[in-house]
Amino acid sequence: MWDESQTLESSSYCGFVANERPFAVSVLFVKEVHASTAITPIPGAPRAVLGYVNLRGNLYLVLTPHDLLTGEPRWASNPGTLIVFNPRAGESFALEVDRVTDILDIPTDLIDRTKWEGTRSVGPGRNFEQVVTGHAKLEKELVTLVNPVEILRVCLEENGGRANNVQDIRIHPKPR
Amino acid sequence: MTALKTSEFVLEAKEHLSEVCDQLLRLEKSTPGNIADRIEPMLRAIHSVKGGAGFFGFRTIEALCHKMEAALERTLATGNPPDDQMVDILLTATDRVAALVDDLEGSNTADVGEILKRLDALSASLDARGSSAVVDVPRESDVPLDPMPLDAIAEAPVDTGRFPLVIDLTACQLRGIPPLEVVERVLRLGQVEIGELQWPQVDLLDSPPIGPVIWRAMVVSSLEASQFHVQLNLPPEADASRVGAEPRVAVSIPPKSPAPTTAPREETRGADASQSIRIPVELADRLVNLAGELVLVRNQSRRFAEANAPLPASVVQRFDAVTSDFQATVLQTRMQPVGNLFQRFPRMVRDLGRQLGKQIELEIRGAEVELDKAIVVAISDPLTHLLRNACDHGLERPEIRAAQGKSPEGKIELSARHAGDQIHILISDNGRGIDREAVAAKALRQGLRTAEELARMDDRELLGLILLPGFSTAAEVTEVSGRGVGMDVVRTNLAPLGGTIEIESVKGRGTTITLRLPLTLAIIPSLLVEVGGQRFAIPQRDLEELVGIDPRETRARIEWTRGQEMVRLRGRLLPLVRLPNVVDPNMPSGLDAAPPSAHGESSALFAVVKSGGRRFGLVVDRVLASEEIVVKPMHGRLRGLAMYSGATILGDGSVALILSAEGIATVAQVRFTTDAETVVDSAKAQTEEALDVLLVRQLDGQLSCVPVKMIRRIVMLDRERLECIASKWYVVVDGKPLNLFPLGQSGDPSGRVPSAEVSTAGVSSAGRDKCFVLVARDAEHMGCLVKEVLGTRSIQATELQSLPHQARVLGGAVLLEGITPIVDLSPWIRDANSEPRNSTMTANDIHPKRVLLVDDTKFFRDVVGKCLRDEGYEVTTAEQGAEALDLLRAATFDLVVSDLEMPVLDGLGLATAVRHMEPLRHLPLLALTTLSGTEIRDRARRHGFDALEVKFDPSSFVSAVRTLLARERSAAVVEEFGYVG
Repeated sequence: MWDESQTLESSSYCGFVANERPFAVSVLFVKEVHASTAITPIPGAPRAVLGYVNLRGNLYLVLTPHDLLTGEPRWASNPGTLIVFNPRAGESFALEVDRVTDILDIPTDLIDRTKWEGTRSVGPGRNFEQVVTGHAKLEKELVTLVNPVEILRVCLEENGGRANNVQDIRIHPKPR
Repeated sequence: MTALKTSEFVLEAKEHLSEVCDQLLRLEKSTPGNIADRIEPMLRAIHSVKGGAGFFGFRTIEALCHKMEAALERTLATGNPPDDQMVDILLTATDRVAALVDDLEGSNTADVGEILKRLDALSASLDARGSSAVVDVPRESDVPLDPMPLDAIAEAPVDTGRFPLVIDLTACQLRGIPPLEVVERVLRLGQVEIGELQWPQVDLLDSPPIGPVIWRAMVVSSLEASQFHVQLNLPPEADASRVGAEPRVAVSIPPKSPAPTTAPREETRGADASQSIRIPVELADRLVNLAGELVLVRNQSRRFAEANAPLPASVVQRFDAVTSDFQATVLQTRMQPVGNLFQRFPRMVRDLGRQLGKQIELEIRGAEVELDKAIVVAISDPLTHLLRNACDHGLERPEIRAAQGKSPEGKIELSARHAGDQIHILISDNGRGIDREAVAAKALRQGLRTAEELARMDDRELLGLILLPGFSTAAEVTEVSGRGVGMDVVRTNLAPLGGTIEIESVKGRGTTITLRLPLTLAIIPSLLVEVGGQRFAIPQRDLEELVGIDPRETRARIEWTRGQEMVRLRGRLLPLVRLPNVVDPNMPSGLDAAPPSAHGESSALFAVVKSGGRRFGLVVDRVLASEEIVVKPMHGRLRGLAMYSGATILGDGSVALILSAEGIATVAQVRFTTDAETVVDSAKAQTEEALDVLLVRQLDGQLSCVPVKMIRRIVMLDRERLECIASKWYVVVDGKPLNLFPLGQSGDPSGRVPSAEVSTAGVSSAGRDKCFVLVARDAEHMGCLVKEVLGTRSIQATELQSLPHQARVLGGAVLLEGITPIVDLSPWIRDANSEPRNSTMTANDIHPKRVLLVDDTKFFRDVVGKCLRDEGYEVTTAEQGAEALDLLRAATFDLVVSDLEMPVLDGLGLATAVRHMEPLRHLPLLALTTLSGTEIRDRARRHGFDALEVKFDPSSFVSAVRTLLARERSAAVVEEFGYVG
């Protein structure tokens, strides 16, 4: 049951890695973390949809966020880890990530809500901005905070969130 | 007060109010002699609602019911039935009470002043006029309308044009739709009369509101509520009217004063009737008993498990039987009579008739037919739309009807009936019909189809165009319909149910729309197949047959015609679809895509599936098994993938997608050719009739044929699964027991008791321990047990022989091994069902009905004639149409059964001639042919046939004969061909 006393983003995040880059989602959206299991492809679905997985008699749609978050398909070929989301994030779905790192307690003052600035040789997908809620400067790394609600929406758009030409993507800061 | 008790009150109140509404509609047409029969049940019902409301403290409902009671008592005292205006007031009051019951929490603060005034005025008028039935009652417009307070938004009755809207803006925001966008969408579709925002209690100085922010508004739109929501295109979770928890603070826009804090509404909110099911106590008792049996079987199994002993087959079978029974009983709890839905339509049609100035009679049939509750709920909007369309555009105005020689009163018939494992719901009107030329012109104008494509379309395809979004042939958009939105909504709502829609229309005579729906959505039998290394399930309801083409024949039988891959199947061309090509059009297709066989040739295995009334072949790599599956809907964001109707979890825990024949046909843009095109060699077909049979080896090794039309499906199973109970053989297939009749049995077909025939007559293709069950088409609980299935054959008429003295055979086929008997399954089915022959023909026994049978093939004359005589009919035969006409002129017949292809005068010519002979204009005519399909049915209908049966399924044929003889011709025409004659 959704606890109204909490905000949609608490200070606790579930950290994960996609193509060796660190990301995190609010734990309030996360139902469970599960080792990846047999996924049934859905021919004709958007590219970001890996398929259906059966977890204890319930079907979950499994998405791969790699294209969207890193601009490239998943590098690793071994089975990843499923982050299964609760209904608050959207109708039964999960993300297959390379691995789940830890539960990160990130103080609000460490979170930068401005948009990322810079040009990358291989940049993230064109809808990257829509799913990012901020960046947290932790001791060892810069973690990108993402919104699973938006990931679901963007991934299920026609091209699965993939950038048309990832080489030319520039991300500009928004004026405050 | 508990939520449970109030929900019981809501359910009961709704039942009572439904009764009141029903009786009010009857009261309108009652006579002074029987108004007490109408009013007294209403008084009891309203009194019950009043009592319940008083008990729970819902004072507004209580007051309103009290005034309704008073008005009805006074009406009863007058002794005269009320007029339309009085019924209007009482119906409005009933609606108001129903709306209050839907939101009990807000009911006490709802403004019901207007309707109370009208009821008071009605009672006063009745008092003043004494026994006079003509009373001066205030019309709605006579009563000054008070502005509706914000509190009343939730209580407002949902009417076309003005309805409440409750949207969770937070849910919209989470789905990427900002609040302003929501407001803009609403304003594009209508006007907002009043509105308010509500959010959880929070100090706005500290933080912005968190949790759901709800926008409640009263909207005025030219769209009806359901269409408005479809056009609004918001995610389902944005519909806050269905959410249990509500925010605690409400702020109005424009702000007047802080709205009072309200308590959470879960306790007193009216129970959503669609979320609960009432089941008979008997059914609940049966479930309890079955649960007890399950426990016993579990304990039995546990004993074996503890002893590390293998589970005996008897325990497994008992477990199978109990779970099957349990499953069937649980599913039964979901079944509801479709009448629960139909009962709302008389009121709607009455109101629409008054609004449109038309006289409309609605006839409802088959209200007792049961459907899964989820389907009943889901077809509510489509049926509403179709009936509104029929009232508005289907039926003409009274003066136009009168000028055309029709009755001024238009008629709409809403009926439901079982058809195998489907339910057919038909909406027929005797109005103007659909103008095909107008449909074609509109499609051309909108660029939906080219002139060439339109020219190639048959009637069904052309009429199907009206299902496209935005397509409407209505000359003007009215308040009721004509925007071209609704038919698309109808199709969209039916698709997830696995339902299809079919339109038949005769210009100037009327339109029939048929909705074909599955009985239940929960658990369905299916065939598991493998395509491209992945498993898929094909629902049995979509499946007609499985066909494997010999690798050596692949190139000869598969060809390309007008960009569509086609396969020749029993002399006809069938469109062929390869699933990988549907998913990815760039995939190699056609013969190149077919997997090579061991001989290096391409082979093809395909399932013949049904889409609406048409068939196409779906190529599969392997057939895995037949399995009952639990249907799970596709993810909400993937419902656009029309190829799938859902997903399921298989026994091994893996997931399989459920294919939708309708969706695949749409996505693949299957080009269904007309019957004229699909008959490969029509000239040959004209002269050489053929009977499709399945060649089987009986248990005693003898060769037999079974007509393909008599078989639903073939199941291969282990002999040890066969059970003998009281000298009858059974097997459980898909959780259901099948009553078996072994063909050529002389011993124990299970093989447990050595049988000379079984053990020495060779090994079946599936192995010594296997056998095959041919499940009967017309009796799913019956199966014919055979040793081996050899394949299908098309037996030409010249190869058919009559075997008049052989019991349980239709005749013989001349094959290589001599004359092979063609088995008739009907006597076995009849025996197993203990059906007394001619049980429905008492009158016929005294005055046998006379049937004229016309067929140029002796075999069919003998077989069909015998079948009719067995049913007690008096049969006269003729070899062709001209001879039949002579007989018709000389004697009286009750029915003509005629072949279509015959020398001298064919069946179509015979029907045309009969319809032009004045005394025989209404003589029932039944076509009996080896041809099938829409085109041939349409041709037969146009020439005057009342129905068409395909040779030769005796059960279906006899049923059609009985129907035609039992009904007037006009009724039969509606039933079979969907138009009113």
